[in-house]
Amino acid sequence: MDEVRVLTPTGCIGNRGIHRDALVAALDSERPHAIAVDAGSLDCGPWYLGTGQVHSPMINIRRDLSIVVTEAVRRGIPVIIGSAGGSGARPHVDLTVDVIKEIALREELDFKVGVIYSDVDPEYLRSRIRAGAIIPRVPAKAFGDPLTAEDVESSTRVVAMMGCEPIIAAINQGAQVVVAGRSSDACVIGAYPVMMGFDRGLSLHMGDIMECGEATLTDREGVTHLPGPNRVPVIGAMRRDHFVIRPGHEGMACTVEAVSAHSMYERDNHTQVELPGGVLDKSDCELTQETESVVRVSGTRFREAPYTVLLEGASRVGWRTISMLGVRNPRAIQHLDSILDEEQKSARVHFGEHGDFTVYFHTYGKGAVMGPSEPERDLIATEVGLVVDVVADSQELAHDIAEHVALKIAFTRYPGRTTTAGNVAYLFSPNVVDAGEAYTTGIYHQLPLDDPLELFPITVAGIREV
Amino acid sequence: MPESVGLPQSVGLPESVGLDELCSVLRSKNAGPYLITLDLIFKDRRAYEAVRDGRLISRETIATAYGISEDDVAVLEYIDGLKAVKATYKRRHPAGSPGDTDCFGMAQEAPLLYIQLPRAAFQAVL
Repeated sequence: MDEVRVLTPTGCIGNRGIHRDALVAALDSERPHAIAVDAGSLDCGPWYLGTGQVHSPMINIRRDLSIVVTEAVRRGIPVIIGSAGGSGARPHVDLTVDVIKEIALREELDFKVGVIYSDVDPEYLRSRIRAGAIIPRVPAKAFGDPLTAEDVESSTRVVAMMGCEPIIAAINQGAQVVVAGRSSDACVIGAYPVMMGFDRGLSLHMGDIMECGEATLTDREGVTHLPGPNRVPVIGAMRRDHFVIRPGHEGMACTVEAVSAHSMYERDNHTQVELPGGVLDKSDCELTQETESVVRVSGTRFREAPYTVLLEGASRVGWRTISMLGVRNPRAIQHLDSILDEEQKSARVHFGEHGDFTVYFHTYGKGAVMGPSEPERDLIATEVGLVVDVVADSQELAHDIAEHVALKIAFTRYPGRTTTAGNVAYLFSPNVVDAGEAYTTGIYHQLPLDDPLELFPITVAGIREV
Repeated sequence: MPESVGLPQSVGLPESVGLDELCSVLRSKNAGPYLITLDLIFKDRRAYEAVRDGRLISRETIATAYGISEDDVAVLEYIDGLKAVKATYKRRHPAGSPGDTDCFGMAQEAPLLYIQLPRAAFQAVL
């Protein structure tokens, strides 16, 4: 085989919606050997991993999966879905499989699904720590502190990011649709060409470019502004010593500039990407504009290194309640810092004996977005959006504190106050909103593995039997 | 940059030039949960080379603009192929954790608009 074509229908299943006609046309004209698509990341924050909730609208997830699975299975094209359900933990994978099963029953499709979990048992991590494994927080050059038993103890849920190997194993076991837990997106897309014996560096680089779907394309005709679902596919054609990237819609173009800009995207550095089993080194990579809309890529190398996977762990740090208040009175805005300082201290005195809590004040119009990095410190806004954000030991405590603090701000006296009927605009009734659990990312560490399949149990079965 | 809206008065002084005038991309985004990365892609290769050769953007420039320590700027690289500068710095709070106000880190580019470079360095370009 001289060429393997992989089609990525969208940057993320469920995110903004697949352009159905563009996908169908590209499947017919390109005849891809595989469809590979990512369905999430940790970018939406640790809450989704911790709670097991999805971060894309369910209506979008059902629609995108329905289009991809139905069109692919009817054509006999294998489908690989990575980081299923967003965070790729067991609840996310199971939900994705349930949706695919619904689609199969409705569309009268029968195929084998390969399900790969990526959850990591805390006891396994404790035993690795005890055995002296070196598990640094990454990137090690910026952090490097080793994973501790306390990190594991405080984590609610931990996943490991798989490489190509479990995906390839599932396909080799007969899976036509692979639903993979947390996965490196470069590997989700690169797995098929790697399996077919193509160069690992080029295959993973192709995945690295295609992982955000049409984000790596230039939009010449406003395709991505069409009302409704408008994500169009991108196609990678892997050959022996290079690959090409082309758009799956004539209104889009793949340009050297767009591919280059995307290669810096969401990476701490430009040329080196740490992946399971080595480093993708793009320093000698050559990008050529082959035609007006096709880019050719060569020269990427994969430097093998001891096999590692990235661990991601979400730790629950409390429960959150918020209140949203608008401040319009110029004198209230002038005194806002001292008002908030006073209420911060007052809440401590009032609720200190009831448990641990933190009150955050986010002052939109007064440095909320940038915090201490805000350059415009002296600018006085006409109005300030104030979010009272309480994280406490329990939902009840967070709720009570938020109610109390908002009310105190509403009626506090400040110098020159004329607003004796109240100081702020409450945005909603209810005046406070319970936001549930609050999480942080406690684990983001690199774990050495002897066996790339070790943490990733694979089951392959008929979709009606799962 | 007189046509720009909401930019600081100091930007556009005759002897200085802001990055908004020189770059087509000025963006920020998470690079994992603990880092934010800034991408500055220049419009013109000669302008990029003037910045690179004069080391007009350094770890110190970024640290000053963001009010952080130079040690917290984990990466600063000049990327010739892309006529771009990439700077990656440590977040104050992990993304999406309590205290954080930019979960994706996608709105942290504003301080870049305040960086002033000597206009004389770009005489051949501007």
